[in-house]
Amino acid sequence: MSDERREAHESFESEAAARPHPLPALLQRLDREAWKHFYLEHRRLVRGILASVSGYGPELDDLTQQVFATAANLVRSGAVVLRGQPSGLRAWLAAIADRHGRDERRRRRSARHASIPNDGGERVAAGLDPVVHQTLSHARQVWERLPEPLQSPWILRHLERMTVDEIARTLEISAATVKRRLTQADAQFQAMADLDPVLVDYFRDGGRV
Amino acid sequence: MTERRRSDTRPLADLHEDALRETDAGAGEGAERYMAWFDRHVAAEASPADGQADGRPPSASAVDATATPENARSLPARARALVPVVIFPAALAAAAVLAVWLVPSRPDPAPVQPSPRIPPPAAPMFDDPCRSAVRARGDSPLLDDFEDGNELVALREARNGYWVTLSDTDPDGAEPVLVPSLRLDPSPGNRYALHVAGGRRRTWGASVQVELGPPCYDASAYSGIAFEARGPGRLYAGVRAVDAVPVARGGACTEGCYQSHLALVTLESGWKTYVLSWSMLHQDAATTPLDPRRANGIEFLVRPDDTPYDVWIDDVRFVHDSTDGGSP
Repeated sequence: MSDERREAHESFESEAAARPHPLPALLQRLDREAWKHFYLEHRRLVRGILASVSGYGPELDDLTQQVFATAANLVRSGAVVLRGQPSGLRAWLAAIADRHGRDERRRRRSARHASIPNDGGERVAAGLDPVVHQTLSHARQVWERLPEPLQSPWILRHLERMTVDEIARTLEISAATVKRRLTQADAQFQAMADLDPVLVDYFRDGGRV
Repeated sequence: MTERRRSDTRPLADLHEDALRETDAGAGEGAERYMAWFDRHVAAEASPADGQADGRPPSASAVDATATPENARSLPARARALVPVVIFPAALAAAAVLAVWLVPSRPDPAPVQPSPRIPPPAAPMFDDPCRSAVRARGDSPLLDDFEDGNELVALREARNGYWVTLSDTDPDGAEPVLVPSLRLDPSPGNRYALHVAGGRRRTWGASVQVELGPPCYDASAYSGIAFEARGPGRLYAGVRAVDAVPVARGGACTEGCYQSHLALVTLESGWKTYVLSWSMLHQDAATTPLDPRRANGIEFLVRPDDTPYDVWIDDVRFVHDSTDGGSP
């Protein structure tokens, strides 16, 4: 990996050439109102990614808090220097959310594996239409069987409706790699969905990714 | 005969939105919780040394922004305690808040003693990825024999990474996957291997690497790695620990990252097996031994002095004690 690339990973300076935006600088100074604005603006994105990766359970808000806490701690500790444009911040936050979601999913799996009392796994959201819940639940069972490198591009593209460029920035891979992984993920998802009775009905009735 | 219940055929993304809405306790409540945490752990403890990236005291406009009761929650915790007392009249509150806010930013007085809750400045404040390490059982050591012809490792013991090749001449952002090549001496059971070749490299060289999949992979069930390789040339091979991976990429490294634990092997012009125990692997600039419970990936590195290069790698695997022959 080139030195330049390493530096880019650590500084999130993807759009440094553009005119400076005040938000990254305010966040870097740990300005309270800037962080509140940052939270409110990106809370939906973080919840969406966490839910996609780890489910719609009651712990979703706690996990969301953890993601923003991690972001603030990274800045506060000096591990990350925020510069550039807000779009880079969005990708950075999405990457943290993706990692937290995966950690949570692994934690639940290992807890189940070790027979530790655990309420993890599939959570049913109160008030959610059971048909919607069932469809999402089965869809998640399918995308969880995708190879891990294919999961995040699929989720960010099809559930979070991110552009290829946004996904590339979030996952720190090239746009070409995103496209290739999406192609593979779509094909594998469809092949597995064709074997799932709920998703077969969903797609037969006109549902789509 | 019961009628099948018809699906909700909106796109999955719309169903996802529904589910998010139904499970949402509300942005306002979430923001209040988050800002309460922020006030306790960040704002109250921020100082020019660690809170201000440029080392300057808070700007005048930042102080002004706290001068209304509504914004008074943005004050440090000890200042917030004053708010109920001085909430009326507004002008007095503004003056009091302004005064309290300015106290920690004055350069002259004795340094403010850090709260006991503040960790040492050097201690990175992030979750250790190894709190949720995935542990290899030790019964399926093959990482990849490349016979499937794809860039994925063998999907065993939760490993699911991609082989990639990088060199110091690659453009930024490039992460080309490395697909196995047909061996020069194929046999029915052994047709493919990884092959990389290139010209002169001048900065750090070229590498073949794979992330094991989980950010922190506990490989302590094994005693080392082994692989087949042919050159000729020199190759550094070993393990990248999670402590060498930047925090931003899911690791635990905050400075001097990408220092893998490697050992030098001298390749011959024919295939040979190389076995590297954990104790043989070391970093360039540090003496920290490899902790196999904190593995992140496997790396093969050709340094600039050893370029141009033409290297074949096959049958990469973990090993137990006294398995496999050969030595570096």
